[in-house]
Amino acid sequence: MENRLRVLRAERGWSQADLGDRLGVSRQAVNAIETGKHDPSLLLAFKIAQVFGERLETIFNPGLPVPEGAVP
Amino acid sequence: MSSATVSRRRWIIAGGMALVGAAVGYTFGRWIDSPEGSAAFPRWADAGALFLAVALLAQGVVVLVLSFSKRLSGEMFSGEEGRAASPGQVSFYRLQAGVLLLAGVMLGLPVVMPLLAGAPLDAQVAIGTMAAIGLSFVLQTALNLMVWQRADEFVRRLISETSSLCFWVLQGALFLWAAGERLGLFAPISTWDCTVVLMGVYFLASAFISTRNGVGT
Repeated sequence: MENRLRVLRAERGWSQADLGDRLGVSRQAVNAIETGKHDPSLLLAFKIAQVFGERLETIFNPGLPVPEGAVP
Repeated sequence: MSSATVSRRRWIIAGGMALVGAAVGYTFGRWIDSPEGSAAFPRWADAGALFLAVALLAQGVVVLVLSFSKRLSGEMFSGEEGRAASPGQVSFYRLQAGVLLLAGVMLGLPVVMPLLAGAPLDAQVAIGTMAAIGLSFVLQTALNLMVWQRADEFVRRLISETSSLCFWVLQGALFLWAAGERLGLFAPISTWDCTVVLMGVYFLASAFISTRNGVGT
């Protein structure tokens, strides 16, 4: 799953370890999410959105096709 | 000291450990191949168990020693200059060190005790050794549970994937060997042989899964 974690983190000048501390996970977990090696749980994804003050769907892109008639 | 320096130091420590491991492994392998080594370890599983035990103990000692320096362990695990490990991280590293050290003790004792006390072991010594192994097992299980409880979801996933990989590899290998043994094609193997293979496969699977998921980068 694609995500904007690295960009959002860089915009705030945070290191992976800084973000890990804010989320309560290891630096390795942040690195794995950024590089697409780990898809976060729903709870962690919401925490990430909360930490960055953004909506979930603006951070993560599951690459799903948009169904016909879906409201953007 | 920059992050590049920290990264370089991590590589130097990892490279140094790899070199020491290679040297110890080579020396041990040469000795096992010699008449003295073959006499001391007539069973391949004993040599394998001792090798794994030393590797586990060495890893445990390195993690434990690093955990005594908040700054060094913080920098080693975060890769960031001047980042000290939190008290929670330090105790997590010590839990992991405890798991590794106890695994090494449990795997090494059944091989080392007959060497030290003479084989076959006196019944009292055997019972005492078994009691020590049992106690280590209980303690290590408790530490393993604590590691699981305190790990984040990514580390838990790595542990689960390692266990799954081991299960599929080992149950397949066990079935094939058992079938071959039943047909009289393969030699019988003991539960100790199986345990050493299991630990060796777990060791390799753990390194493979960790590397594949970017741990250490």
